[in-house]
Amino acid sequence: MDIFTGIFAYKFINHALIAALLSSIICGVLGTYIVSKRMVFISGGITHASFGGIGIAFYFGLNPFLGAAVFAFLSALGIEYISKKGNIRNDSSIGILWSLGMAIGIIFIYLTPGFTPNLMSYLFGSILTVSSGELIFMGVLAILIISFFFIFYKPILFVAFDENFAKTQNAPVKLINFSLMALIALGIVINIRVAGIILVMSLLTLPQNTANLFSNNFKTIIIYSILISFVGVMAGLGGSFWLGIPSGASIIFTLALIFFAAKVGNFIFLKNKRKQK
Amino acid sequence: MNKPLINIQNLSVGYESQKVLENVSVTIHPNDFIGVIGPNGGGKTTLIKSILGLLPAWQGTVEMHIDKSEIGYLPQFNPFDKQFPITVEQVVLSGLFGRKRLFKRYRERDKSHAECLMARAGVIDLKDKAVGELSGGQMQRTLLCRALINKPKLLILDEPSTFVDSKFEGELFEWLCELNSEIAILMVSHDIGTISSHIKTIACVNKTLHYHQSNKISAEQLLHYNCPIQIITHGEVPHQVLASHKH
Repeated sequence: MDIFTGIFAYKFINHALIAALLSSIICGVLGTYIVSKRMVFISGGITHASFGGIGIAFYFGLNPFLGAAVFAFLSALGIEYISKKGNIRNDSSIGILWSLGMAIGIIFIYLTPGFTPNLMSYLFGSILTVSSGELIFMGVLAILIISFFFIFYKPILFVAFDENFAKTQNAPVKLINFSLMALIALGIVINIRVAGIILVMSLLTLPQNTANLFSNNFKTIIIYSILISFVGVMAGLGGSFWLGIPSGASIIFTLALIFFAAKVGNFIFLKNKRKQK
Repeated sequence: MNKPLINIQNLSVGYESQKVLENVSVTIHPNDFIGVIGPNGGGKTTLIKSILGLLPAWQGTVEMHIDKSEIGYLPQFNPFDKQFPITVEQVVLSGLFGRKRLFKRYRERDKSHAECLMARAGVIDLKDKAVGELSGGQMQRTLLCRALINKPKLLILDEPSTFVDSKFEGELFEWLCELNSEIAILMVSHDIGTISSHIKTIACVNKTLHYHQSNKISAEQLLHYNCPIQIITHGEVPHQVLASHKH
């Protein structure tokens, strides 16, 4: 019995470790783009709207991730479409899809007969129960995102910085934006498993803003974000074991602590530097 | 006459339901140096956007005899996100976009060309700085380097002197005159007075376009065209005219 629990513990810690690493890579890269392009609230809208897909999938007994992915992707496109064609303010259309997705999710989960297992794990995340299949998906997505950013680094950066100028240079602006939206939607959905719908936004913003305190270079911010995120996720996981609190919240709290510590450190450093001058 | 670079015929264009330009015709030839003047909201930037293909024409045509990427474009400063993590050198090199394949690396030649331009514009010492650390004038100079690195056949400048200090303004116009021996320049400006000695022709834009085949703004011309702009020239005819076109 002892040996069995030992192996079991080993395996699930291992899973959590790999999930933390892959999640840090995915969020580190995508988050840097999201933060630089000021798309944090679009990402929040996509995240919450995907709950509608989870609800529908529960109701029809499908894979919740499939539902979430479809909803995330459609809402990503929907936000842009509604703002442009519908003549609705961008932040309003985010708000509309954000709450509409949540409402659809709640309705379908309410209608689903019986108990809905794992519901809490979608809302608050549960890195310790990530399955092997999900890890494989995360791994494939991480490789896809890294290669995409590696190959198209310059176009991604230039289109994000100045879309109009990129258009005058015949850059495939629409294709690049569309591909990035698709990657963001998938990245968000898979990270719901780690941090939960309510908290996933912080994985995409806190490490990046911490990294941004130390660098103004897009590439460097990506690398720092991945490192900060991995350290934060592991420390948060440790804290959740130690204090017996939910892992998602513990991870985000740790990342926020790192950010504030870095901010204060940075502030004192800059103040001293100014004094010396 | 040289073969034209761009030929605009009876162009009407606007945003959503509001028409901004109506029935505009103008031809840009190599070695032209056109000053585009007119009141705010008169359609100067709209004209530029149609030339750059950023706005679809409602009516009429914009006939291009050069590729879009052969136009160097210096936009107005305001639409940028100052916190975007990108360095001065990266911004300048991004001007090569139209030439390079998407994932090609820069060559040494590209980098030294960029350095050459940055040195001339006086931003070489800032090359590794993020754009957020630049002043408005420094940003404008950086964007000018970006517009020039692709060796354009036509350079379009939207209010280049807004943020540039008077010392660089002199250098800028000297540089532009030098460039003008090889390329055409189209420059939007609200105060044509300071540049009128450098430009060759004037296009007055206020919903429609009036083309003046000279850089001298005479009292007679102004009377005739009724250009609704504020002009302060250094010539014999100092004046301020603030009327509108009657059509």
